[in-house]
Amino acid sequence: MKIVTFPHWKPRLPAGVTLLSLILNGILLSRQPVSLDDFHVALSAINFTESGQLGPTMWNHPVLRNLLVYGTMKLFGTGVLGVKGVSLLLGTLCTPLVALVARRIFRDERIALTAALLWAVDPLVIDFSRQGINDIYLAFFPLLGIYLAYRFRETANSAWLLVSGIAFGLGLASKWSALFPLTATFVLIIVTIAGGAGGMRERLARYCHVTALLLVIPALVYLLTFVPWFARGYTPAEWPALQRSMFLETSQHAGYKPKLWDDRDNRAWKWFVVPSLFVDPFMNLDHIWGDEEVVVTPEKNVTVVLGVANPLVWLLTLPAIFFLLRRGIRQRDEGRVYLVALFCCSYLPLILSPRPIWLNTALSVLPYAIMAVGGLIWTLADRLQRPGRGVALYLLLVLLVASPLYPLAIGKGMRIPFFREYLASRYLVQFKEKMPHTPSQP
Amino acid sequence: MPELTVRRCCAIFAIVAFFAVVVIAALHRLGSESRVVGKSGLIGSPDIVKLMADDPSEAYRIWKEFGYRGRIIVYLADRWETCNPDEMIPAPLARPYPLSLVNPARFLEENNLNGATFLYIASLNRITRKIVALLPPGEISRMVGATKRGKDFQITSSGIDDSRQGFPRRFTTVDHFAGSGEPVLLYVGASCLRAVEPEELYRLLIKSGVTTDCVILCREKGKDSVSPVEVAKLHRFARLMGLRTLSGSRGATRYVAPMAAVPAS
Repeated sequence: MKIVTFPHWKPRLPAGVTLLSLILNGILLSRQPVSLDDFHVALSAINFTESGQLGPTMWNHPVLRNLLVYGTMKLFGTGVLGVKGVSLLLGTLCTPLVALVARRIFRDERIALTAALLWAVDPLVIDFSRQGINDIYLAFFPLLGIYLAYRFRETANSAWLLVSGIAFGLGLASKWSALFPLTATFVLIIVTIAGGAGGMRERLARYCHVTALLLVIPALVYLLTFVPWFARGYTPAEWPALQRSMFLETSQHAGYKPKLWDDRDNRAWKWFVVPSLFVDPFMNLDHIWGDEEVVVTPEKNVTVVLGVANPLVWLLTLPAIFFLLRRGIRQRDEGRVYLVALFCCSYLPLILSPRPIWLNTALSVLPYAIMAVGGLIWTLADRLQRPGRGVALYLLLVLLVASPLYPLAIGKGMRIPFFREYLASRYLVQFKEKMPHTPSQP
Repeated sequence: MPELTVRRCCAIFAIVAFFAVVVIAALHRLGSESRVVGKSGLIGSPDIVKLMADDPSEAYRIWKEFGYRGRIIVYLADRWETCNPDEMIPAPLARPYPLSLVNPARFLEENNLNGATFLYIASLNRITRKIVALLPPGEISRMVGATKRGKDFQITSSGIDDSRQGFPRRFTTVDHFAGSGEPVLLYVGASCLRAVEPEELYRLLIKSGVTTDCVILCREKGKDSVSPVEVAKLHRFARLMGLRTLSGSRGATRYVAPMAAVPAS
């Protein structure tokens, strides 16, 4: 095994970006009204952990979210930390992970920090780091698995690969799409072994070693998350039928309920081609409860959370991937080719899927897209006389665009005059027909 | 730094493989030992629990009181009652922190237990892990159309396998039923006797080889398809099974508590 080493870097800057991420993800979180999804996430956590039954919401997805949310609700109660604490933590920790992985892929700290910053300020990331549902897990666990696999390559210490396998297993137990980066990472290590020193006997032993730690361990972790289900009396022989049922629902899923707004923007191929957004309007009557004088109106009682993809980042992704691939092949740069493989493995199955794929799923692709954009920006900037200024200008523009998108991502758009009219006309018309005239008992 | 030698690689592979076997064996044991089964036999056996219930809710309470867990319920009636679980726990319009949450299984047991929901609630409360519904041929034909709206189903000449949110269900007729390979909780609703005589039903169930530790004969009080004729037939069926006293519900047979957890076959 070829051992790759990296010089120690000062953690101040990544820590600063992580702190920024924590602030953006956490600010006013307890004042963001609880959505129906959040409520059902908490209910499903209780249902699965105490009764071993999937559902009532998103029963077709793997079950790690139920276990984690149940754990945080036991620790912190059913307040904001209990319901959303896991997403907040994992969404924030993705920021240093993006930096750590990008640093290993590009061997360039500037790119690593730029990618981390782009991640921290992305409205979709902020949106889903503030929700109970588990899409942000799909960024975190594979990134952690990749980082730990790199640590294994740096040290040849099997313990790193073991925890990498566990991280990928937890990713699989969040959603099956973690399988794609796991496959790319497995192939990378297999190719490394094939191209390394040693005879057939050594290689064969190493193939078995990697297979055990990077395929068998994730499978076992995934299986173990179903312990509450097995405690209902099921045996492993009955488990494949459950997986089949979950797979059939997931592969044909077209939404749990018809949506009350324009829901046509659900094709994965569009994400990096045209400006895209994730729409999540929901009604919550917390603040008017018990006050009979207050009239319920969509403008006051419907929260519209909009995760708008920052076009200055997202629309650069495909050129960045093309550029990376070309450069990776020409320079035989393993890191760049690996990043392209991670992106393609994660993205192509979503493009090819015949079912609707909403933008929340893009979080499983976004870390690699953002790293690629960071790489492209610095490669282009290095052609300038003062690369730092060029990148600073780009980042300034990104932040300028991200600033007005932030209140939309945290559900405060209805408080801003211009956005209020836009959101009301675009998303609240259908809600008006369903609004209760007077509040009924909850 | 540890060296990645051939011996180390092989040792790690062997440990992981061994661990995998241990995990699967442990899960098998967990599943098997989570099932709570009483003394079982064929439906005529004197050793099994045989009780008369007035309605499905009472049947549910008997299963719960006896402590049955992780079982296959074989359900006989004239039709398959449906319920929409999504509508049974209404999401409140106001959802302030800290969230007011319930255990869905307990909530539904306390608020929604009836003839249409009792099997679903039995599944939530871990009493059952699979339902086999033995229905008249006409009802099976109707269900073929309903099943096709789902995503995970298999329709064969002997019946329908259909899962709901991952929960396995089988719909078939009593003459296609060939037992379940383990003792079941048998529920016989009076309505199933509209289409078949008690002697014939008894013969078919014996022929299927089904074993059970608890048979509940349910009068299905209040069900529109049950008349005194079906109740009288149910009593005839009870006598065929060896149930002597039929007056009053649950008074006919003593309970055999406490129930011990017995690994199922």
